[in-house]
Amino acid sequence: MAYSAEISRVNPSCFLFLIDQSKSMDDPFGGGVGKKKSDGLADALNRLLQNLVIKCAKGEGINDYYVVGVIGYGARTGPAFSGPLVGQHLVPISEVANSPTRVEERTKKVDDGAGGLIDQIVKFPVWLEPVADSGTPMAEAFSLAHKILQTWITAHPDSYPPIVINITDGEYNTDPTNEATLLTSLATSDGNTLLFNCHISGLTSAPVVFPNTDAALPDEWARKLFALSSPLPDNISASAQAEGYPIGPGARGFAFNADLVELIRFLDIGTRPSNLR
Amino acid sequence: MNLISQGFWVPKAGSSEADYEDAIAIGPTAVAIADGATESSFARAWAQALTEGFACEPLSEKPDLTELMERVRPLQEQWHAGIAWDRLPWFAEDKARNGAFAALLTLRFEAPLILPDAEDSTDERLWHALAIGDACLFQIRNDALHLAFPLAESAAFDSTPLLLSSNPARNLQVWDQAQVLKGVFKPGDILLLMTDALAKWFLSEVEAGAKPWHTLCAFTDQTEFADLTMTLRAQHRLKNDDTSMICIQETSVAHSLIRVSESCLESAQPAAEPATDPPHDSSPDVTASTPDMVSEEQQADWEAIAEPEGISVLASEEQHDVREAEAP
Repeated sequence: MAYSAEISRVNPSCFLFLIDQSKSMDDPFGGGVGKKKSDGLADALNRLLQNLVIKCAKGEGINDYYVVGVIGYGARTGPAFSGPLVGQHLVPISEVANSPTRVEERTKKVDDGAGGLIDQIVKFPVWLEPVADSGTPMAEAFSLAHKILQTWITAHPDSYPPIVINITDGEYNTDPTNEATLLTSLATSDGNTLLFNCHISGLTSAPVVFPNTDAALPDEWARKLFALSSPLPDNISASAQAEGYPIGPGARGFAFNADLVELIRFLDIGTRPSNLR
Repeated sequence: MNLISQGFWVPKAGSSEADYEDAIAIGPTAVAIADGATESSFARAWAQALTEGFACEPLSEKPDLTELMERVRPLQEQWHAGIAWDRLPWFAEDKARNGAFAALLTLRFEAPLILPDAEDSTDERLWHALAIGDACLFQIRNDALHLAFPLAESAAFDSTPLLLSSNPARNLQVWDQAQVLKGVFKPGDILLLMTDALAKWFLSEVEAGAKPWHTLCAFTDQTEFADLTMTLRAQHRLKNDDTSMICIQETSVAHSLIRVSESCLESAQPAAEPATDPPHDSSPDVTASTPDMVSEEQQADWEAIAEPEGISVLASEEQHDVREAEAP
């Protein structure tokens, strides 16, 4: 059965995030009063990287279950890590853990174990800075992702297939269908590379998440992005259902009009491929 | 009737013994088995704290929720004190603050497994089990599966079992789901405690009409157990996971040959000879006895035991019966 390979230190898996860094990412989420999309996306991804690191932490060390890459596309298309990892395409999770640009301290409410909430200072490592400039060369990003993953798959032919999560707020410069098709044609013995697309929006209209049809999508561009998104494998589909999403047969890794909350949930569910070993 | 407890364990394939995160402990009157959750940190230490805590100092005969929570609290503190927090990098600290998680199954007898010579004609032994999660207890009687607890079908196992945490805040939803069961061990019976992978295989075999206890109860050393798990994993019949089992059967072994688990030495009588660390010993562990015989008054008290307050009683032995006629 496809998408059932155990993720282990011997057979790690790969997450590659493609992030839209075009000018419109400077606009706010949620109808003009929210956080800038570029800021929200950087926060969401920094938080996700932190969660992936913590998931792989074991005792005093960390197990390299994952390699992770972040490609930005806007004024330029290329690796988006800042700080010690700048310029790197794919980085083992242990190296991510040990190489944040800085570690900020933030306050969050936590359960005190007795029915109340208390403020706790938490560490917030930062690997990515918000960027918003120029156009949306999505096809170039897919093309670079293909190049990076082709090399990785050659070295890991039996691993759980790479998961590519593309986050964008607008229309691409040129039709990326060919590049996306080439990208998802890359396969390990456990299945094809997965491509999930999340469209984030400044609109307040209801998001469409993990649809199995393009009927509710407003235009050709959204339908195209839906068509380029991979069907959810069973284990990710089960995670989405457990989170309360109604998942129909053939549901795809696609979200339209996601706000910041939906983006965070999308990233969380999309990076839960299977149990670690 | 004296009873012998033997523990068997093997790490998941591809992992070293240092990565083994189940735990087994065998005390004078109780045994415990735990399955530390791979995705949590310091899970092995937590599983060991739980099993040693409950095997060496069993729950009372009438445990309520308060007692259970009070018994777990010092084990949580023990786990916490075992971590060098100031040496942890940020991610390890964040992970450890979430707590370690483990499924727990503990079984206590009202009297020691090995009775004093004068008393070993007792032909029934009362036991009391507590389960949090998917580690399972099976009782074999008359060459049939007589009882399965807390899960009774191979399809009932999933990837999100109930788990007891070393972090008190993570247990708020757990306590109400702890389950207890009391039962009787009769001559010829066998009790098997297993972590989830083996328990699921065991029930699958029973559902297919097989009698897997014939194989499991014949093991005399760890190698035979390891060989079976390796074969079953290769056939994709056993999930690749840490795999552990305790088998309790009648024995005629003389007292002088019985050894006690090291972790319980402080609470055992000095006549016993220590074994090496029980969960990691390459030879089967056997419990020693303390000479405390259950009194008639205690027996009567047991018979009259009320359902423990705050802990759900899954079923009486009769309700939970998995008799041969019901097994496929």
